[in-house]
Amino acid sequence: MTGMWNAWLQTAEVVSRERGVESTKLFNRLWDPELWRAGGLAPLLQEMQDVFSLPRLADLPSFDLSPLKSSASMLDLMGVAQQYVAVSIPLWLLISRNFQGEITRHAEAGKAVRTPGEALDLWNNVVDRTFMEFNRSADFARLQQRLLRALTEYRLDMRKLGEKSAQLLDMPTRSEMTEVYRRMHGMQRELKDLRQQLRALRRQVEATSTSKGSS
Amino acid sequence: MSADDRLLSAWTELADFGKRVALATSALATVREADVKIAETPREEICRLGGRTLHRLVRAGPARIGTPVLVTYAMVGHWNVLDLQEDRSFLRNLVDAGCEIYVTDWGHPTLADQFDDFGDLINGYLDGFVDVICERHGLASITLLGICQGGLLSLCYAALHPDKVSNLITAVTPVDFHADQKEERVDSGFMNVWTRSLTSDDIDLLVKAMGNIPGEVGGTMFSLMTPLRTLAKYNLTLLQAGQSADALMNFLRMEKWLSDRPDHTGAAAQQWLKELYQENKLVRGQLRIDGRLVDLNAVDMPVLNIYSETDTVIHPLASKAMRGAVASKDYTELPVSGGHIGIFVARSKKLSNSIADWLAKH
Repeated sequence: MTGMWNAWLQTAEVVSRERGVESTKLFNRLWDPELWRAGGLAPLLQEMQDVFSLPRLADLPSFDLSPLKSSASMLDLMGVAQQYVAVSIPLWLLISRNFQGEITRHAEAGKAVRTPGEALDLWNNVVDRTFMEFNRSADFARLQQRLLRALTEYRLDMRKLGEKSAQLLDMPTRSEMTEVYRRMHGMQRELKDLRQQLRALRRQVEATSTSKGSS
Repeated sequence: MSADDRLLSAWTELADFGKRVALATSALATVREADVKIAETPREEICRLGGRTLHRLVRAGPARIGTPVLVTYAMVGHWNVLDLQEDRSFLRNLVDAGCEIYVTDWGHPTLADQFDDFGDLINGYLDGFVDVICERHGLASITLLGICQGGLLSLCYAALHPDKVSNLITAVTPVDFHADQKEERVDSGFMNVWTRSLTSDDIDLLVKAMGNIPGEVGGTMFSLMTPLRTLAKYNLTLLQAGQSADALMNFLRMEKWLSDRPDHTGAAAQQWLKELYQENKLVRGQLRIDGRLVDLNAVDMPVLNIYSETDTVIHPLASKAMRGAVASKDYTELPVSGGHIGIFVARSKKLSNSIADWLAKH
């Protein structure tokens, strides 16, 4: 009996060491706001799948979080998209402040804005400059990168889901078609090379027969 | 100005604004989609390679300039902006100036084309079209005229097949993709900044997810380059255009062209964004196409390099870098004023005449 309990204690220790520590770290990351800001839920689920998965057993279904992953990707995308929209609020405040500053500078230089048309021109210039500066900033670059990543991850996860359905309905999948296109592309290149070799050989033959004819 | 005068002035401006809106609205109400036509200069289809087509612009009489010209636009956007309307057609002006013009039409790549890389574009399609033109005219070489990315493809072609290129003309073509860092401008080089902010994995993931880069991605990037123009396009700009039938049709033709955003083949996009924009391999002498090194020292034919100091898409220094990069002893720079697309849709024939005159001497 003691031997059995010892064996189970050892098992618990192994499981804790191999899976428990990593999974605890992963679950703790759920409390990190930066994870949500960076659209990191879907990658986290992938890591969890890696931590909890077992070797494939032929006659049993595998531990697969992919249906959850597509929902996670969508949540990530929504989160990043909200950040993308939200960043415009302080930007418009900045534009208003810059516009007020320009109005003051014009007045001090003796070129006060007199008509709505002049005010609109000044406003447009301020909007243009502020947006261009923001578009080139590191903050915007980071946000763009996150949005792009969230979009592409979401698309890839949706594709995986879609392909599973397509397989059930015996329809071609995107992955299969991509492989067909890859082979087709390879064959086109081979055909082009063969045509070039053939043209070169023809030229050689013509040159040989011409020189034989002249001699 | 008294308060009453200011009030009167404001009311007058408001009334004038209302009149302008009414005029623009009735002008727009008379136009149908079928009325907006572009690329009307007569042309004939010469051949097709895969989904790519070679066109020839029909001319009335013999060409003043003997060597035919193959015009290659970028894959981002359709070539037909070069033939926007009768009085704003860069290609028609070249024909009128005496050139024999052929045009590369990249078509609308589908997912079947996603593996087309620079090797296919340059050694496959461009080389195939050059061979067809040479055979038609009984020549060993022709002139290449490349615009933007088309200029880069033409430049690489000239480096890999110098025996088939008699003259090389590049317009608003980037050569040094990091040159914007030497002169940072808020109104130019946004694509350089944006691409460098991404990692190589981001680009690979984008291509893996999409296959081809959707045209809308390029459209979004262009919108970010000129934010006010984007915001004001369908209010202030359209209002201004609606004050005259000609201006309105010109606006609508540009819109028609802009709405036709072909996808960019994935493999070529990866090279474009990673090997050029991020790693700047061309000017560093590290770019390989189909395993062959693109050596710009092999570009020894006459070169005419056109660039614009006010180009918001391609930083002028990125184009001017060609001077020190090619080995040509007959290298000419032609600075022009205007935007990246603006110089090709202007009424003025100055650019096309300058090109024709240069070709007449070479």
